[in-house]
Amino acid sequence: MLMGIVLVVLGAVLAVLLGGSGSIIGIQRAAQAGAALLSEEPEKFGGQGLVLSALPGTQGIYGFLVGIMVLQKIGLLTGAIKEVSNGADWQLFFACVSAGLLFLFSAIKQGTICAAGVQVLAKKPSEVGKSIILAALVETYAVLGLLISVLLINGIPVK
Amino acid sequence: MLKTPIKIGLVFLKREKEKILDLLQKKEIIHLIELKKITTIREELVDLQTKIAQVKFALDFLGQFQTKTKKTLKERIYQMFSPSFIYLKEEQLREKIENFDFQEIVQKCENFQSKLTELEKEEKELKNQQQFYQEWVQFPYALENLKEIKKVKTFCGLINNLSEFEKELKKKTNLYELKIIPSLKGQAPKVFLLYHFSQEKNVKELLAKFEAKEIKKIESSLQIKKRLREIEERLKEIAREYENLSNELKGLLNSFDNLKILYDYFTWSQKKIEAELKSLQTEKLIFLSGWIDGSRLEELKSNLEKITKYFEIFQMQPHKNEKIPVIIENKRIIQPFEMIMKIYGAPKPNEIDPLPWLAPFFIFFFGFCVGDAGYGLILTILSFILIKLIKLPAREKNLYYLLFYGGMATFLMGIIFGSWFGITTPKMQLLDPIKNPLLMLTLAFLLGMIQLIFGIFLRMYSKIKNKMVKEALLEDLPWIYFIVTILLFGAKNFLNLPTKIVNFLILSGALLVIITHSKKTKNIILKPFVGTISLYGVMSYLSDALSYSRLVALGLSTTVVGYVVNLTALVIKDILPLVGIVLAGVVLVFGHIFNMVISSLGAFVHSMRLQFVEFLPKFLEGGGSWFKPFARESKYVKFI
Repeated sequence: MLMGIVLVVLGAVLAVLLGGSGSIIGIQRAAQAGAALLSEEPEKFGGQGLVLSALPGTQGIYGFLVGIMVLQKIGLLTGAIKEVSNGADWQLFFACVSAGLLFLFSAIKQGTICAAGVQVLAKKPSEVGKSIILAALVETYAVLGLLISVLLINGIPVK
Repeated sequence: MLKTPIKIGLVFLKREKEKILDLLQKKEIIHLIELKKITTIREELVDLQTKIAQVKFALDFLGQFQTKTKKTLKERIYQMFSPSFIYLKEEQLREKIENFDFQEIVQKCENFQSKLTELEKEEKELKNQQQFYQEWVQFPYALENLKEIKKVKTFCGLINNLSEFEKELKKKTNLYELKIIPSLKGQAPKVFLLYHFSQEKNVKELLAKFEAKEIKKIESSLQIKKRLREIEERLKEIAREYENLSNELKGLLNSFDNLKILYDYFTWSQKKIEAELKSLQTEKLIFLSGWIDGSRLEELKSNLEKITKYFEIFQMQPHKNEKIPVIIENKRIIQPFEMIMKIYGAPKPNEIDPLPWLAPFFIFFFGFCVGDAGYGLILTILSFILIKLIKLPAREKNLYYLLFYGGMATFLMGIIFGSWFGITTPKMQLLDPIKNPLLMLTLAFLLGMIQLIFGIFLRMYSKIKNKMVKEALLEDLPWIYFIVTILLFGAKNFLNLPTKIVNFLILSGALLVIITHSKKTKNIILKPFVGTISLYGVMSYLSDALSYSRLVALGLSTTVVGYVVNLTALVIKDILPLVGIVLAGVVLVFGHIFNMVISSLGAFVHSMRLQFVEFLPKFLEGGGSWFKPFARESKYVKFI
């Protein structure tokens, strides 16, 4: 039973860790480009620069979400810890890791696109809306990962 | 509604160009066509550009001081949400400009700047000297007594690695005296070295080895004190001068707003000259051509008649491949969505205006993604306050209007999901998204299908409008039928439909698509293949509809993050007595603000993406250009 809990917690931690790290790198890329723009033409930055810098942050939140949902599932948050065995531990672990990996990659790549979006903001501010949409294209797969992860966590039976 | 403007030509006298161009620019009525490239360099234009550069310099220069002046909290909040414009009445413009000598201000700014840099430079220099002399003050002997005499030589300066130096010096001679001058922190100690003239060669070699740096000897202790006094006095003077300068600055800052107005005014003048340069001219006449909203043609004529009788307006036929700009015009309630269209880009003139169709979906999806009644309420109230508070023309508050609508939709969806600030009350829930994720997914899928089918209908409508009735009926209608049969197939167990009938329907749908799409090729042998391949299109519709599952995921994430915020607050409250309650309050407020902002951002972006990527391409080709009237584009000034 103990081993089961460890595995599940490891999964939750990985989801948070992977999602968070991805977001950190993603935001760092976008925000760096944003800071460059701020130093040259601060008046162009505006709300859109902030949006572009913040977009890769959602994956971190999704990772956090998955983590919380798993902890909730095995009762770690309320103190009444449930028994996790018969493969449920591994199932929950995979439910977390698959999402975590998706969050990691999508956040990093989204950061690159957002950084490019900041360039658009600098050169052609009128077209920046489209670059925000481009960044959202990448996020789709993080959203899908979150969805599948949530469905799995909900569906995996735990006594 | 999309409007196609008409093309007109306008001829007027060159000597009246000033007032006519001025009128056109004020009325913002005509989208000018570039009849010829600007190649000639006009002296007027160069002159204006210089003036603009001068004013910009003054603005930039004064701007760095402007931000340092204190602002009230209200002003700051106000500035966060609206660009600060200068509001003017038409007749005020003249008086602001005419009695304003900007050259003088610019000159003053230049002087001010050079004075400031000079003072700063001198102050820095003096402070360095001051530090240097202050160190010498601490030297224990009277300097005037330490003159070099025949048998005693001196060195004064910096030596790296002093202890090592002294060790080596001792090896060679003991005919020396070395004094360390206490140094201010962070600097190498200075030394004063006296030595017997017989050792000059040795000492100099050693000094060279240690890369010692000699500094100029000071004549006397008295001199140092005198010099220090001088420096202090000068520094005081400089401080006084700074004071004077800052008073002068206050005077200069008074004309900050006037400079801004002038900047805009010069830009408008520049645009007018450019407009003239783009037109065709004879010795006495100017010919302009442009697009104008047909319903405003009379308005333009009557306005021109008021100021001159020497002009001629006539309608022209567009060239065969000329790109006609589109005017988008909608009822007040849908207008805010123009912002979304501006991001997407202009449709072609012959396409339909997607705004009325896109608006309800966008808002509904937004509400679905946030889906919390509490957040909805706050969003609605906040955006309402902003709309009322900020005095901008309605068109420039589009975002706030969108958030206002979105807030209301969020509120409604929140009631359905029974979620208030992350607290779910099962009794009041009409639908629990967390317990029924599959139902939610199906719902999202169906929503997607509805919007997609609606999109195909719009495509049909667009084609029929362009007199392509046959294409609309043969290409699009079969698809709608086919997709509906597929949906029926998926729901047959749920709806208890007999399998045989459903199978028949779906087969008929597929056949219909194959037959109608095989018309695309005239080659008889290829026909069945082309038709069958077109069936593959169903995949794109299905994957498009699946894309709507993001609605569920985003909605879930709002709810769960809200729940986590509440949970954290509860835990904190229980851990610490008294302080815990305060901390829990802080966590609640900031946590929910954070969640609301991030969720709204996600909801906005993803709802917009669903329109752009899934919905609009079903019936819009895009790639048109917007109607952009010749106008007074301003950075600082708004007319009221």
